[in-house]
Amino acid sequence: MTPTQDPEQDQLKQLLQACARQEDRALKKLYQQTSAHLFAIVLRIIKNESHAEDCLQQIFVKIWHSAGQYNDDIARPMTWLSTIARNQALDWLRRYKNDRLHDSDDVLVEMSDQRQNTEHLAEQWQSSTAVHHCLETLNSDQRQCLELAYFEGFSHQEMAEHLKQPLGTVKTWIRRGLERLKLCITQSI
Amino acid sequence: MHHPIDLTDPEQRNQAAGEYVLGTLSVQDKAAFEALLVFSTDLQKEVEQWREHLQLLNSQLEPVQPPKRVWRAIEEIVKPEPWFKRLNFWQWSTAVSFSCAFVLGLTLLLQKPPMDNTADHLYVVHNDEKKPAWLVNTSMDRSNVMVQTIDPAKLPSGLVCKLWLKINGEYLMLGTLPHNGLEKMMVPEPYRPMLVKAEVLVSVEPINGDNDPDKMGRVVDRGGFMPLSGSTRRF
Repeated sequence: MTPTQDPEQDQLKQLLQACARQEDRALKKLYQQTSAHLFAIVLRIIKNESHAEDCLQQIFVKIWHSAGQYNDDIARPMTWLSTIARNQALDWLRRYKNDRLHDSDDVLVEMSDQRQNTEHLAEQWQSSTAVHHCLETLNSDQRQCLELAYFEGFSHQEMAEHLKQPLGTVKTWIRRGLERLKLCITQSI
Repeated sequence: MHHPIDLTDPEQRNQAAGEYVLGTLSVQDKAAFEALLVFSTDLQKEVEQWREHLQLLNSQLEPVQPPKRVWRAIEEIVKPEPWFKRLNFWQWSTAVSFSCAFVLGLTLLLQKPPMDNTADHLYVVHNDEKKPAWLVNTSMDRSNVMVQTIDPAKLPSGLVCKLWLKINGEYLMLGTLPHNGLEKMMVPEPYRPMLVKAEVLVSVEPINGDNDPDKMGRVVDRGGFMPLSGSTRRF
């Protein structure tokens, strides 16, 4: 493993490698360090806390079984873990699309209660926003489209219907949004 | 009309990599893209680069701590404890539950059972010897469940077993499983239509513990109600 400038990412790599050797203590540490971030992704996609919990459970079981496939030359550990979480949550969303999935406002109350317990994580999160300003370079239409695709799994057509905009307009917003995001991130690194 | 992406053009190809990660490529473009992705290491790198770029959308989300029960459930899957460490009582198994419920259902059909004669769904809670500890029967109008004690596990002092239902993702504590005899537990009205589809959970809790699902104790048994078709609701 090649050490990086980021001790947090290095530690995650080591934990993933230990998971690949089926060291269950490593999975626990990995869970402690990443579950709040991955749960946020899953909740953003699924929006139902109970389903999100079940999905998160599946995600960590999947991570446990596929940690050996992680290649640190290709992806950073948190990106790899987030990709698994997002894909699993989007699969879940598609599977249960016709079910009543969205909770009442109670869920939001519960979530806000939980947030009180995650203040330290929130601080960590706020301090790691070095490139977050790149999202601010997107206009609201571009950002909304990217988020609808990324977190809701919307196709171009679904987005056009949802936003009541011509298909071509939506495609342009996405294309320009991606271009702008890439340019900003490339310049920030 | 749909114009296919020209994957020989570097700009269009990179844009397609972004949309591939975003998930917005059409079926046709996605198929062409994936066909190239298999062979092209450059394209694989571009995809990974886009994953990093779009990770920004994930990292803007404020972390949310999941409830402790999620880790407990994961731990049970990846590192199941040997049976003798499980507080020395029962372990759960859907397969065993199914077969026991089936055999028990047949047995009960052949004799006049002492329970509520309107129920037609049954769940069997097992003890550590994989023998029935409690029978949980739904009433026909779904307003309650009747719990009959068979051979309950012996718990350390100060601990009890509680019966939960998980309906539409929501946890509902029905009551404490009895040491002996019958116990009727009411099911709140809104949950009755989904009662027989509910997941049944049995957890070990302190006697005076609260009924907060977020603080649910160790789950020692879980599964679904078994329909007893052909029973003509004799029990």
